[in-house]
Amino acid sequence: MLMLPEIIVIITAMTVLVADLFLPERLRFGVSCLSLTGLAAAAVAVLMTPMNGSLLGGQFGMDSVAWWFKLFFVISGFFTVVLSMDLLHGRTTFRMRGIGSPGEYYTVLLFTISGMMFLVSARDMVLLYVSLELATIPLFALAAWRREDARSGEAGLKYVIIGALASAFILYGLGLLYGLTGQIGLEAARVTRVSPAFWLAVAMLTAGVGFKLTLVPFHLWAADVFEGAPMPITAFLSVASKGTGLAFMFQLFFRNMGGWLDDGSLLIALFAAVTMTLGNCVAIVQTNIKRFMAFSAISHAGVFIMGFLGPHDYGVPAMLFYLLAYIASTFALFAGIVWYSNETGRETIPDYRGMSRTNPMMALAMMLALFSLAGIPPLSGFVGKFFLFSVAAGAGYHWLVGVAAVNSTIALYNYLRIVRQMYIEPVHEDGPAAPASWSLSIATAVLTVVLVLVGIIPFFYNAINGTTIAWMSGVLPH
Amino acid sequence: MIGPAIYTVMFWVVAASTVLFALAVVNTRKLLRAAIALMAALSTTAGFYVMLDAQFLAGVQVLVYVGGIVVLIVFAIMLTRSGELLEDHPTPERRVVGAAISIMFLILSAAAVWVSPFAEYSTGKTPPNDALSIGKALLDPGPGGYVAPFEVISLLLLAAMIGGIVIARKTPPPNQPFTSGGDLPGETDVYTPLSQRDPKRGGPVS
Repeated sequence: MLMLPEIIVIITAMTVLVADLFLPERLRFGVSCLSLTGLAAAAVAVLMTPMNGSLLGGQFGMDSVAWWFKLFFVISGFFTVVLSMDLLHGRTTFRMRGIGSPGEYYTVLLFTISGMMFLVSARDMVLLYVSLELATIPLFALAAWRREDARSGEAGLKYVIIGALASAFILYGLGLLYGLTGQIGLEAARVTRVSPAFWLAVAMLTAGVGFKLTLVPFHLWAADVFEGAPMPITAFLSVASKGTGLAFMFQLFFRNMGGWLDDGSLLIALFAAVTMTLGNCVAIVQTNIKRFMAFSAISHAGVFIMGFLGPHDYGVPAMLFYLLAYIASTFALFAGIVWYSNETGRETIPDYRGMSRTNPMMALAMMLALFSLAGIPPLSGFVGKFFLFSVAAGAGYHWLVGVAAVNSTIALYNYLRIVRQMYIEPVHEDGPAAPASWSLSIATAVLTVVLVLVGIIPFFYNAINGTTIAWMSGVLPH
Repeated sequence: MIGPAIYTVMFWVVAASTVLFALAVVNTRKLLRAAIALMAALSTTAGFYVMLDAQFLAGVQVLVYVGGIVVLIVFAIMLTRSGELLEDHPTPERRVVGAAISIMFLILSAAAVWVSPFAEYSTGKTPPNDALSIGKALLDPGPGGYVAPFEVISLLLLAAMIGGIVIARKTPPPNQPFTSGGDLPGETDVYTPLSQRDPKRGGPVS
C-alpha cells in the first residue's frame, strides 16, 4: 500500500482531534502520546513502502527520493512533537502564557506533515500545488499560536502575506507552463521549445521556491516569523519547511524543467553565494537566539542549493544526506534551546552563559550540534557540506566553493559565540535552569548520537547514495 | 453562438472592468467599498468562464465567491466596525516606486506572453462541463480524475478552519492561571441574563 504513511498520519490527526474532546484535563497528555505513536507508525510504514510504484492512474507516485523525503518529514514531525510536549501541557518552570490547545496543535501539525508527504509524491501540477498549500497554510496558524504575544501574531500575519505572495508567484508560473504545453502532468508538461513565456515561468517559480527556501532576496519574512513563532514551531520551520522547499524544487526543476537546469546553473550558484554570505554576516549581530537561528537557516539554504549544480547524479544523494545531517543537528540544538526557554524563559545568546557548569550534558549536546552545523569534522554536518562542495567543484564552480569555505569560517565564529557563553563566561546570576524533562533528555541524547554517527559510520551515506544515485536517469530524458 | 467580433469586444470589456475593479479593491480606503469592488471583480471573472463555455464553473463562481465569501467579508466588516483602514497614507515615493515596479512587471510579463507561441487546442471539442461529469471527474481515482487534489484540499480547509478557530478564540484574562486547555472561560466570560445587565456598560450590574 503506497499511500499507507499518509493515511496513518491523517488518521492520527483525526483521532487526536476527537480524543482531545473526550480526555479529561489530567489525561490530556494522552494526545501527545497518541501523536508520537502515530508518527512512529508512519515512519515504520514508510520503511516498509516499496521505492517505486504509482497510484490513482499515475497521479501519486513513489520513488527513492520521495521515500527518503517522507522518512525525513515524519522524523521531523516526531521530534517536533517531543519538543512541544512540555510546553503545551504546562510542564515547565517558566509558564509561557497563551500557548495551549494541544489537540488542535497536533492536528494542524500532522496535517502539515501529510501535505509535505503528498507534495513529494505528486505527479501533476494540481496535486503538487494543493499539497504545497496543505504543507504551508497550517503553518501560518502554528506560527501565530501564542495568542498572548503580539510578536506571535505579527509572525503569523507576516507569514500569511508573504506566503500568499509566494503562492501567487508559483500559481502564475504553473499557469504559464500549463498554457505552453496544455498538460498538467509534471513530466508531460516539459517544455520543448524555449520561449520568453517559459523563462517568465521559470523566474516566477524560482521566486516562489525562493520564498519557501528563504533564499536571498526572498528571505525577509524568516527572522520575524522565527522569532514570533512558538519555539518548537521555529525548529519545525527551520527543518521541515526547508525540506518542503527542497522537495518542491526537486519536483519542479528535476521532473519538469530538468533539461534547462544546466542553463540556469550560474544563477543558482549566485543565489547560493549571496544567500550564504548574507545569512552568515547578518547572524553576527543577532542576540536573540531565534533570530540567530533564522539567519543560520538562511545560510544553510544557500548550502543546500549547491546540490542543484551539475552533475545531478551526485547532487541528489548529497542534498538528501545533508538534509539528514541538518535535521539531526538542528533538532539536537533546538532541544537544548527549547529546554532552556521552557525552564528559564531566556531567549538571548548571552543568557546561555555558564551553562557548561550548571547543565554540563545539555551544554555538551548543544556544542556538538553547533559544531556539526558549522561543519567541524568528523561530525555529520562536515561530511554533508563536503559532499555538496564537491558537487559544486565538479560542476566547475570553484569560486563558489571558495565563497562557501569563507562562509563556513564566519559560521564557525557565529556558532562559537554561543559555545563561548556556555563554556567561558561566568554562570548566569539568576541561577541555573532545572534539569530537562525525560522526553527532552532522551530526544537530545538520541539526536546527539545520531548527528555524530551519521558523520562517522558510512552506512547512512551508502544507503542514501545506493538508492538515489540512479534516480535522475529515471526522471530526466536523455 | 455569438460572432467573433462581438466576442472580442465582450472580452475586452470584461477584462478591462476586472482590472479596474481589482485596482479599486486595493486603492480604496473604505473597507466596505473594497468588498463591493471585490464582488464586482469576482462577478466579471465569472463572465470569463461564461465566454469560455464553462457555465457550471461560472455558476459556482457566483454562488461561492460572490454569494458566499464576499457576503461573509461584508458581515465581518460590519460586525467589527473597522470601516476605515488605520494605516498611514503611503508616502509619494512609495507610490511612485510601487507603481513603477508594477508597470515594469506588467510590461515584462505582457511582452513575454505576447511573443511566445502558446499551444493551440481549438480543434478538439470542449470537454463536457455539466455538473454530472464534473462531479464524476472530482471523485474519479483514474488517470483523468481529481480525487487526490480533492481530498487534499478538504484536509487543507479543515486544518485552516481549526487553526483559525484556535487563534481567534477568546483568550482567558491575564490573571487566570495556566491551563493546557487554553480556552477555559475566565471571569469576563460568565453569562449575564439580559434583565441583570447594566444598561450603560453592558456588563452585570455592580
